[in-house]
Amino acid sequence: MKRYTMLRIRVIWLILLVITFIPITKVFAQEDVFYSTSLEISTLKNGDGSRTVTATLLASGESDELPVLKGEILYYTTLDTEKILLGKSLTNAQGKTTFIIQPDQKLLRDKEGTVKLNIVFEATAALDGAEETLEFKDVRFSMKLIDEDGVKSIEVSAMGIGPNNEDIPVMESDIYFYIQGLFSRLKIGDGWMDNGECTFEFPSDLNGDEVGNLTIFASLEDHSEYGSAMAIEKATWGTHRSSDYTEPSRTLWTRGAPVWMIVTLTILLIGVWSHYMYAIVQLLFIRQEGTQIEKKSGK
Amino acid sequence: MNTENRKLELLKEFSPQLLKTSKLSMAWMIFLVLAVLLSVYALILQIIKGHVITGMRDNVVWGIYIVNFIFFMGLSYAGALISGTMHLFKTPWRGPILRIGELITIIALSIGPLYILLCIGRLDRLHFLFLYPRIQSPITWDVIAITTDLFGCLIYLWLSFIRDFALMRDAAKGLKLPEWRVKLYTFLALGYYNTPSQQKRIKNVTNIMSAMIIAIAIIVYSVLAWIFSVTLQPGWHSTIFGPYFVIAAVFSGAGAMIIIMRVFRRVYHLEKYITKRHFVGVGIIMMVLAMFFAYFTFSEYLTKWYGSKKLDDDLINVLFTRYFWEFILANYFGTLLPIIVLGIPKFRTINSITIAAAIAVAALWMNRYLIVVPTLETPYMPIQDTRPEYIFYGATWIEYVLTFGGIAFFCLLFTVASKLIPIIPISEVVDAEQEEASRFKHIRELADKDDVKSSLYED
Repeated sequence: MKRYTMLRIRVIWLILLVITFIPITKVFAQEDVFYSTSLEISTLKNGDGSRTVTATLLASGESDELPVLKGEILYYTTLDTEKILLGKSLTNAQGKTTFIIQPDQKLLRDKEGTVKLNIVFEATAALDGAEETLEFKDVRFSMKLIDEDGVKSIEVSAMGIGPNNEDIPVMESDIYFYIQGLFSRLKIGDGWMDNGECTFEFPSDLNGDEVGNLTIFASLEDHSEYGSAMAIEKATWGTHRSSDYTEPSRTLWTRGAPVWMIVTLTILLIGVWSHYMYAIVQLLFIRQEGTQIEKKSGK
Repeated sequence: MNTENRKLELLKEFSPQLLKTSKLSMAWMIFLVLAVLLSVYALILQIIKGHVITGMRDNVVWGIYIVNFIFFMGLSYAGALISGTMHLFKTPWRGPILRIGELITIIALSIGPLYILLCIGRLDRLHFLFLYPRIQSPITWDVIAITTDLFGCLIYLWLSFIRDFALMRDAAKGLKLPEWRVKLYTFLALGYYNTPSQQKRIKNVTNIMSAMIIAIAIIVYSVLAWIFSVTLQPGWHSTIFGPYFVIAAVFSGAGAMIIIMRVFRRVYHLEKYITKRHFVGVGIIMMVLAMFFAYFTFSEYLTKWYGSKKLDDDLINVLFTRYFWEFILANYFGTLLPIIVLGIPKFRTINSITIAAAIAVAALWMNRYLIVVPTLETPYMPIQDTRPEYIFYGATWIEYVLTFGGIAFFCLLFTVASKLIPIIPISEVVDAEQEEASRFKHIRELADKDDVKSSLYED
């Protein structure tokens, strides 16, 4: 009997041990999960001559994909075996980072003027490395706002940069025009670029902010050679329409109370206190009658 | 029986409570006086050392003083509303309990505003409130409302007491009352000699004032609620706060009335007059109000919870974590118990109704605490000094002593009043008896006329 009891106790202990250690083995197993990384990159040439490179770093496990926080991204310009580091940046909580190549930073070009940007995330103890390359021809993209006798127009200039830094006009391409709305850009039209130039007549019926300011964008989008470029300018070209809405003044903060309040309170107080007066007058009549009775009875 | 003889008979019956003070009664009054004196000592300390000896700080600027203010004002309005309604609608069983309601009104109204004075840091500037009032300010509305209410209640009370004062004056010789009391009754009776014209006047004006007192009680307590609800504070900025406060006030007042009825019934042996019928009657009023109160509370918190505004969410989180048991007492026990006790006829005993009323009164005090304090602990703007005692409120012994002092003062005034005037309003009881008799007479006449079976009027 005692033997069986001991056996039962041992079996229970064994079950408890198994239950206790299952989660621990899971914890250890989690450390063995391997994450590979991937980079999503894009670039945009700005109107001021700088270039924005955007990179998103994602880590993929067996069944999930997570953004990598504070991942260090390196930016190189390369030509054959030559490789120059342009700079580095850290990813945010969404795995995203932006790097600006300044106009005075030198980019290596091949004999056709093509630029290669090598974007690298180097491997760490927990994460695999990732690398992507962007190839494009550089472009000078700018816009000029012209106001002649009240007729407003935009002139866009797009010149590719050749191997010896010479201008090569961009040919036959769509240029899109936008203004900044409250939440996103509003497309206002497009134009045709020929021989590096495009002119667009600006609409005269767009509202601006309270004084008519508008932020105007001209954009070259996904060009096969030059990629994307965007120029931004601000102008007081909006038609300002004054709103009829005027914020009501806080009458509670004025020296005098609002009329409705005085009227309501007066009606209420007169109503109540007139009844009190009536009651007091009745009490006085009672008193008067009582005095007469007391006088008659000689009290 | 002649009404005058009936009145004298009743007066003779109640005269021991007016003329004799037992040792126990004397000890009770001494205890109350000592409690009041202790609170005066606490008040002096507070004035000398400042509000720093209370739990109130920059963040939680209102504590249990304001809770007591709301509570006592609620009792007052409830007394006015219940007694006014009973008088106006000639409730057949109103007679013996009407005076308790009237006394609650005036005594609570005299104590409630004192707690406001305890809250004010600079009492020396109090007169500015009257010298430079701003009609736009809810505090000014409250000052006007309380003054108006106090006047109205005093007039109403005088009107309802005047016939008994006259009775006491006329019976003074027979009762061998001391001279100062005779003079007092003569002054307060205001030359009332029960002449037909005086009877008519007093009846007419009492009816008007009882209607007025109902309206004023509702308006004045709504004004008190608006002091909170016109602010943008989480938990206060609510459109239903006016009616919610009025319902809570009458609910607590009905509860307090039951407790006081129970005390006087036992102390003055009034079992013949304050019967189970009165307890069930006021208890049913309390039950209906408990249902309304539960409905308003649910509506208030449901809309806040569903709206999910950040600060409302924070407040509800505080109520359901740090104040969990207080919230359960205030909003579950306090409402469910009266509903269960009064809703099931089997449970309707005088003792169970009194216990339910006592729990309801305690719950409603807690309800006011939960309205005032957690909201102030959940401010819009973070404060610079983040010491816990600046963020969270805890009452100090000074505040507890002054709270207890207020309750003691309430009991003391009630005891003294019951020594000056019969706690059972003799004239009202005789009126109610006459009304009842004439009602039965009328039914009997109708029954005889229509040849209705005698069993009908036996019912």
